[in-house]
Amino acid sequence: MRKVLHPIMLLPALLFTFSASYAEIPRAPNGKPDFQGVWANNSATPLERPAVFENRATLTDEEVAEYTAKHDELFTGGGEAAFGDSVFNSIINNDEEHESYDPDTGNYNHFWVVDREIENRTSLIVDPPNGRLPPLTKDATARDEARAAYVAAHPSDSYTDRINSDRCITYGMPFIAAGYNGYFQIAQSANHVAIMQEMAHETRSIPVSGGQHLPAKVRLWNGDSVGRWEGDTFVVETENYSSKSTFMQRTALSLSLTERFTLIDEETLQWALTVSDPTTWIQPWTMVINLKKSADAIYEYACHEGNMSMEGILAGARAEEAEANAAGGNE
Amino acid sequence: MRHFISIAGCVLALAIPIGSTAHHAFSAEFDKDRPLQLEGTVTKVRWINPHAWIYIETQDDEGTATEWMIEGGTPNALMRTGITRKSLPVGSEIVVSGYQSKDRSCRPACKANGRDMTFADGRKLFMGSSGTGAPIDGSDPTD
Repeated sequence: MRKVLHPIMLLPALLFTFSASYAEIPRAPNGKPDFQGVWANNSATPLERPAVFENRATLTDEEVAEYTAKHDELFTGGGEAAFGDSVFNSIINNDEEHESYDPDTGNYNHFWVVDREIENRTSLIVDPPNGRLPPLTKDATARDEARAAYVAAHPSDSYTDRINSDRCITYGMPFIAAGYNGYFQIAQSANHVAIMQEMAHETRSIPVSGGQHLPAKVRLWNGDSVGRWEGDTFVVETENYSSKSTFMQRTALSLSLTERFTLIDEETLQWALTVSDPTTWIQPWTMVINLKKSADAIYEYACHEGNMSMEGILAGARAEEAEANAAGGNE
Repeated sequence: MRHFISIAGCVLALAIPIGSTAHHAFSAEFDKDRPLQLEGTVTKVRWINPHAWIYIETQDDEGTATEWMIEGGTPNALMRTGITRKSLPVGSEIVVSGYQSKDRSCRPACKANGRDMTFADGRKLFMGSSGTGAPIDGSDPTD
């Protein structure tokens, strides 16, 4: 057995046993919970708990109402598009208007992205209890600095300098970003659970019988997922990521992911993810995403076919080089 | 030195929480020193991923026409709100505020990002269903 189970990886099971209290779980013909359908991740809850909340994990009802009103004020008028955690941060900062993460040129109007939902939580991360990512290892810090130095010197020399998502290869698995086509379709049989993520139309067909992972030398973009039922929770262990796979913009080569899917009410599929990578973080950590049942369809995200952005980025870099040369640069 | 992106800036970018960016940073593609405002007529909408493109034709004071490609966001979210490419018909008059691409070769058309897009009368594109942006020509009794 290659994997050593860290005691902290047992936390999700302890944290979410309340899930079993949901008595009217719809069931598949084999008696297992029926997860089939489309599920959406449009929560505004940030990955890490903002410092202003200190050790407080939940919001009051009044705060939820206040932040929801502020969300509507900031984002329903078609202003600057907001992504990821910046939605929640703009709300709690009481910004007069949202400023793009890319302030030099901005992106586009917010009407291109979906409305976000204010939950009563202050972070997706539930472990460590402070709601923050554990410290990086020295090795990960060194890798970050080396990569930053490379990107600074070679932002777009070639398409290979751009990240996997820019190149439309993959947005990675798990795709945990909310509000940007964060939709999943699940189909299941007695033997497999298939999970398709809209970004970018990738499907995992996960055997439910447990068993061994592929040999360590077999590496896959989305890793090798093996599932099992623990009561009414579907548990998925994933390893064997390729050397090109990334998670949170860092290598996923040594990533070990444990997912726990549990229906906690008619509208919510709780997705608890425990991330273990001793080469990147000094300890495992766990986040919980509440996927909401959606009546929407999954849409094709044919990224590569329409990726004119890559041509524009590379052509822009060549134009900048030509201008620098014409101005007497060192090339 | 050909590029002026600081290492500190890149470390900061790496530290941005996941999901805090769009498909790609527009500052990699568009020129912050070339802001522009375009008024033109929609000639085509490409409802594609990772970004939709809206084509418009502008005319200068001498009547010379120029075709522009305006980069927007992923169309999937708009589809879910019932918006389709028919919501922005050919012939609509729109105003685009954005930045021209760093590559100014204008092949096959000049490019800009649509940081802010409105109809000529000031309404935001794709907001609500009261107007599709089609020219008001008397054919729609609700106009």
